[in-house]
Amino acid sequence: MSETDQIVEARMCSHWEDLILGNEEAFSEIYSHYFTSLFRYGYHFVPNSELVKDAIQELFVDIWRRKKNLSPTTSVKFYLYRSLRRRLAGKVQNESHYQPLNEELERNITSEENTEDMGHLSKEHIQNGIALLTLRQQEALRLRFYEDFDWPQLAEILRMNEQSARNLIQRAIVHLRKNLSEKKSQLH
Amino acid sequence: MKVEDLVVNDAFRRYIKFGENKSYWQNLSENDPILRENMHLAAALIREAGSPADVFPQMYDQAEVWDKIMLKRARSKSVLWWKIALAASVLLFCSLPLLKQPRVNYENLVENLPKTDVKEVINTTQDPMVVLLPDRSSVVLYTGSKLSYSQAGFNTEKREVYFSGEGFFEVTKDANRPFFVYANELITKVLGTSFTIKTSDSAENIEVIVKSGRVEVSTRKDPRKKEILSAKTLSSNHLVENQKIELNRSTLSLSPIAPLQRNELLHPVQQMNFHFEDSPLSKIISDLELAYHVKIYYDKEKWQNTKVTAHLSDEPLYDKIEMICKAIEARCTIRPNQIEIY
Repeated sequence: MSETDQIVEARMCSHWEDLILGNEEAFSEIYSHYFTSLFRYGYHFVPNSELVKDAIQELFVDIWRRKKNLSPTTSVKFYLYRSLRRRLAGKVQNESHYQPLNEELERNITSEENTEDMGHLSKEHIQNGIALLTLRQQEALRLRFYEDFDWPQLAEILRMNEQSARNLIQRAIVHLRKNLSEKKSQLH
Repeated sequence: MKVEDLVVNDAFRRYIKFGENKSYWQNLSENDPILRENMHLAAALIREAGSPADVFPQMYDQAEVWDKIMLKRARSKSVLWWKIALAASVLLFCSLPLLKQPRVNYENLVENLPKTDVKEVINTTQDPMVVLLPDRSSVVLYTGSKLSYSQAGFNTEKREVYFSGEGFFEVTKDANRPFFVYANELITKVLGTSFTIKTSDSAENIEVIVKSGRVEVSTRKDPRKKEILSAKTLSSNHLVENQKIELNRSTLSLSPIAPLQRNELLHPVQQMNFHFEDSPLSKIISDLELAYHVKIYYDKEKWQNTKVTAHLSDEPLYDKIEMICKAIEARCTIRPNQIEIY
């Protein structure tokens, strides 16, 4: 976690404590700070924007109503992500139109023609490579590498033990490397 | 090092994001093709793991979701209000002088605005931001501040905005349509002027600082409130240039009007005088860009030798730009994020 991230996180934790005491300004700060990234994460997990917006809304209403029962935290972000994911998982089970996440569901899309080598992986190339992974692998990569959650946090958000989370990431990287290397071999 | 270690390695992340210690990482990988490949993949992951290509801002509306949260929260709160009201009425008998006024926050103020018609601007960036209002007034919103208004609030009788945070208002002169700013318990009334309001829902005091013109300040509990809201003129007890006043939110009492200390105007837009005497156009434009935190596009070559004399002061941003354009015989388009002179 970079220094500025740590400062922001510390500020959010102090807002969190104010929120517990009923400070609306602090509540609104936390909402404004995390809304966009929560939406992006939620949408990645369940590609249905109405469902994600509803879940975020319910999550924050719930936080405000139960604020007296909340305890201080060292990571507001972790709390929010974990709670949002649980809510979404609950919603997904209730809604039939969404196809549940399935780790065994390997997708067989061939990545598009791309002539760049590994040293200069283009945005499209790497995104295609990531898109070929299972949704669960994508989610794990995002949480660990982009959102900066540590291993125990990642495991808890994904509701698995830490070793399984590590294995999941490792498999994702092996697959990603395979997806990308076809193109590389054309060059050498 | 494995890809998964590199991706979470702080030093490596800084190298990828900011180019720190470039030579160290290049040397490290020079004779190690496996590490080099791992580094490429890790770098790609740092850049791309979080950016699914299919999320667009139009899919989510932060303010809309927030409105719903506030609505639902308000419902649960109204129950609580009954309890407070009951408790307060009991309290009233024994401790009348100590009674605190209920706080009014920004959300309470905007709750009753028509949902379909309301425009809200929240400055979530680290920099000041300029808001252009329907009557051509402009507001410089500082970080974390919020401003709401409805089209219905800008009518033939009056102009009304709702505000929280710190903002510098430059109001278009219109003696027939007073301009009201509602900030927490405070009501600020002007006819055309520039001033700053500083408040927050958690703060104890609200401050109004007048840079130019005349400003009348009252509270929502003012016995003359009705009269103030309907009269076209200001009452005799108003603030003028370089004066300030403070509201104590607990007692709803206003401080005496006080002269302003020089160091209380901190922001460029408040300090600058905008008097230009035979100044290059580029200097005028960069001053305006600094003051209002906007980007002004113009053909630098075409006007590189143009000099302008203009005495601007507390006009809203719109008028300042238009006056400059008139002076150099140019045309302009003005939008919040982009101003063009051509």
